Amino acid sequence: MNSIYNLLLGITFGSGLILSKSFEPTTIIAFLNWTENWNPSLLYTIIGMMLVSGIFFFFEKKFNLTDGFFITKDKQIDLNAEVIIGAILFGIGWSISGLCVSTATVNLAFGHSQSTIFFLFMIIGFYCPQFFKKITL
Amino acid sequence: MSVEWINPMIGGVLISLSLGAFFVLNSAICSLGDMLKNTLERKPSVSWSNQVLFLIGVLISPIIFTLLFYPTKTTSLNNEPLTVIFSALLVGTGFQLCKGGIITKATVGFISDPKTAVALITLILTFALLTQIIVSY
Repeated sequence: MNSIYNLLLGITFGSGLILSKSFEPTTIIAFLNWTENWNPSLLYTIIGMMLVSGIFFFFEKKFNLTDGFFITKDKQIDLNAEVIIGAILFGIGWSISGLCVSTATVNLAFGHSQSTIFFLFMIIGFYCPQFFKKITL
Repeated sequence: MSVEWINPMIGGVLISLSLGAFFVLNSAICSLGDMLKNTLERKPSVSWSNQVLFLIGVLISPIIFTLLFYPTKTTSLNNEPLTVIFSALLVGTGFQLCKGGIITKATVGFISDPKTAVALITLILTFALLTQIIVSY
């Protein structure tokens, strides 16, 4: 039964991306390009995500579940140079293609060759920091 | 200009709810990117198979959404292949260094640490907007 729930949650996640149209690179580019026909829909999607996350955060604080069921310490990150550089690189890459990790995964279902190439090189990108750390040490 | 806001916001709510429900169900807080990495790296376990099921759900979501609601389609990226590869590497590397992208920060990141999540979302958006300005000109 648990397996079916997880499958349904995945479908819900993908449906959220489809309903908000944030899986389309054109929506992202239209949001980031303020010069012509600005489309603020991504802003509403982020607000929607934060509203629900805020409720989860409230319950986490209210019932003091830190280090237990909800949040583990390793998920709380420090704003160090590595994280900041990561955010900058992510922002630049996301702005060029209009795709991020989640949207690239949903786009795989549509079978466009460029989306597939993007997905494969994104996976390679996951291992780039590890690779550079290894060769520089 | 009329702005459609209901669907994007409900989409955002669905995205956050699905990830929130996933960690309530599995006691594992992770984003889609984490699931992708875990699927590739870890040895099979209950949590591992649940993450795979979540990913399968995401991959089939366009088909289910089309069957239940309305047809979905996305536009192919019109970038040069090298640009796609470059942006994919940046997104993958940035995601790894920053421990998440914009959706991760607005969902599981916001539950763990709202202040850091907001700071990183602002940083990602700032550099994405700057990149778009440079690309436009």
